[in-house]
Amino acid sequence: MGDAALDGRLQSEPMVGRELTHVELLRNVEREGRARGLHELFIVDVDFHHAEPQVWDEIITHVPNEVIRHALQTGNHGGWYVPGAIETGGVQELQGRIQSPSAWHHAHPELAGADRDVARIRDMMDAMGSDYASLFPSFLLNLGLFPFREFEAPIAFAWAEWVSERVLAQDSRIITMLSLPFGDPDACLKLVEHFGDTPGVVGFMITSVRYDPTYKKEYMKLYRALEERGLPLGFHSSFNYMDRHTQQFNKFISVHALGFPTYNMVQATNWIVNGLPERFPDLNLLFIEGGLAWIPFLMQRLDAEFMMRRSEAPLLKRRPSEYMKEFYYSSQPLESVHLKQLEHTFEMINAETQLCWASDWPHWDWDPPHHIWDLPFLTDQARRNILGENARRLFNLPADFRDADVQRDGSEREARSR
Amino acid sequence: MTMTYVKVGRIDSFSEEGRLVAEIAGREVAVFLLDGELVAYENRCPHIGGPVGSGQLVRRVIAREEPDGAIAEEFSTQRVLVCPWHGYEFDLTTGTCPGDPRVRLTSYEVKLESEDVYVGVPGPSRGARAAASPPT
Repeated sequence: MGDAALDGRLQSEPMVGRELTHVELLRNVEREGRARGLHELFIVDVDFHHAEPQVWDEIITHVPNEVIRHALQTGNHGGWYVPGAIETGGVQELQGRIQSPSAWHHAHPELAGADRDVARIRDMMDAMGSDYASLFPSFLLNLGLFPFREFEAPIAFAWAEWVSERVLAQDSRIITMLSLPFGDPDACLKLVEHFGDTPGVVGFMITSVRYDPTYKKEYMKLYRALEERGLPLGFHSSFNYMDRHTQQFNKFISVHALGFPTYNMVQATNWIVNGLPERFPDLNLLFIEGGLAWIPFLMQRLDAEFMMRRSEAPLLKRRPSEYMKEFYYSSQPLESVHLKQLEHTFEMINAETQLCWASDWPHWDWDPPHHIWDLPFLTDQARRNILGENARRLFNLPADFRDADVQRDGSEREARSR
Repeated sequence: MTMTYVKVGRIDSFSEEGRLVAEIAGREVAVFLLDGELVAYENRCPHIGGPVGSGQLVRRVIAREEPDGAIAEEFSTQRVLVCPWHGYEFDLTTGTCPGDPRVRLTSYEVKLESEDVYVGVPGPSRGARAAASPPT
């Protein structure tokens, strides 16, 4: 009965199997969702990702400065090139064990550029039952690490223009929070003024991995502009191999597990200790992709120290945790291995009103919507809020979406099978 | 408990990776032929439902301590099945996850008669039939 050829491969090759397609990988998401009736709910995915290298040639045509555009076009013989960008290919995917990044990369070869991206996004959204999904870059999350700081604003503007004109314009279900070139406060304000009213732009985002402190006076006009427009400010975390403290790690698991929550903790701490919640009380914050376990930790640390050192945070009128309970958080990657602890975390962060589901597709630690739905300690209303209603409120999304399923390019989209 | 044995395919219909995925009464079952032995598990990862049976068969990474205190990693001869969604690993002989044996695949009885492979599902027949999907 044994197969000699297979037996030989099993003894020698590190991996045996074939790569699943994008649609094959998503099939179980749809099956699990439909079994729970999730495709009948209003669902918003507040964070999924793009892969910029495949459309880099398109994006950089939008770089306004011709010298920088030329440098980016020729720096890698026409391929993806940003000085200082972190390369994670293969590491994130556990050398092929986890298949979603590769499946995304290879999906819809019959299409090109932004059209290919939109097709991939629709595959994902239809499988997950998402009514809206918020697109973030992946490689450009390192925007704050580019050693040539004059590249930051042109690249941020190029991304904003490309994603608005080529992606958001094609499908009203796709939304985004645009990356701010935070190294240049004037450029940040200009970006908000230029793109703040663009259809599909629901907020702006600071990439958390950076070294520009949020409390600097130069940023106050940015926060005021966002607050006046009713647009939320996101902090999207990431990781960095090259920080002094991460240079002693030898595994991706270590860099990743600590990196994401750490950079969001840095940003949340600076925001609170410097009294920014009191100065901009109507500016909503969304902390993205750090999981949730860090939040109770930081609440306890800051509260304990604030009670002893209030004089160092004189603008605060309440304990730090009380401000943190008013922040919004994305749910992914949900640390559901310790359910009791997770339940306590949900209580501490007012998850029923402040937590928003995120898939993070196609990254390796993505979460399907049924991961939220299956949590045994949630009420049905809490599930609905976390999967969509909290994001609807945060992003001020239209309530009549299903009655007005019209694309931004003016064409009617086929009614979704619900 | 009454068992119904459903034919999922012939032994020569297994893919070159030594597996066959079939749908039986609304559930996908992955059958593996490894080292001459047949095992069958539900094609649904106990983590959050990924198509684990279609994942890569990977030689498990092990580590040993060198005399000088260094750690040397190598591939063992044991294969683990890796869920393509999030990387959860499973020992195909036991269906358990090496990282936490409490996490385990749902197993099915499987048997070979002549050249036909049958998977046992609980309950009376009620006309249960299998539809083999393209080899994965």
